[in-house]
Amino acid sequence: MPSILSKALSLLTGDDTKVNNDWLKMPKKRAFKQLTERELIRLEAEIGATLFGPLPRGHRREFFCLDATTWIWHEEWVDSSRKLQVATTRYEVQEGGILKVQEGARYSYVEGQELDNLTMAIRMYYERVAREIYHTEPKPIA
Amino acid sequence: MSMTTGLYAPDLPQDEVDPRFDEIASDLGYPLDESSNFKYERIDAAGRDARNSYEQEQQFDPNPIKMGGAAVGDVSRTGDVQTAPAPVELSKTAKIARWGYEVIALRDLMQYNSDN
Repeated sequence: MPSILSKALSLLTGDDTKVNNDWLKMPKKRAFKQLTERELIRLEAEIGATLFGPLPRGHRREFFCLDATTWIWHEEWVDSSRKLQVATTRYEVQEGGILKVQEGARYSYVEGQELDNLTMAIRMYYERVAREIYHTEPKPIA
Repeated sequence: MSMTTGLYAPDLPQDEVDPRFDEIASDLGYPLDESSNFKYERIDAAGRDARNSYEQEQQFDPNPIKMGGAAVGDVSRTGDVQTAPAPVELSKTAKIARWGYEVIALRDLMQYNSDN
């Protein structure tokens, strides 16, 4: 009888002494070697999102290196009429400069302060992903 | 648009860098130095294009004597002293290109290591 009672009590209140909750613990060392290219890009994009200062409330941003000559800026937010807005900008590295490609067939070369900011952001991106994701010291490029 | 600064710390220990990095990245075909065929744009101290194409780079001969020009320290008839050319630096476009190559090289190196 006591065993039935204790079993009923444990069913009602729960018995956390025998529960195996190892699966809840975060692994101390993340197994980056098993990450796919897409997952690596996602990790890089998390760092990229922080390079341009704090995000406005309700915004979601990604900034990442797609390939050696293409950088992507993606931003989503909900506007005042509660409609989801999406803006994606592609920066293409060309011999003549950095071509900015936006929706609506808008093309322009990045220049002035925007080029300064983009250059600084990409430099910081390279330095931070090298140190924080790939655990190597970035090469100085002057 | 606010940004923090990201500065190099050249005095950091280098022993954490995988010593095989250059070799492997080179095997993967990434240009790691300026001897590659990548077209670099060069801007001199006055902001002029010093070397803005690979073709011009091929024609550029740093030896002024061979070119028939004045050597550093020579004094011309007008009294002007030939000085050393101002150091050139990579343009912003070339730097962005290099950083892009380096990021992809690191990403590929990670994949290479996981496969081997």
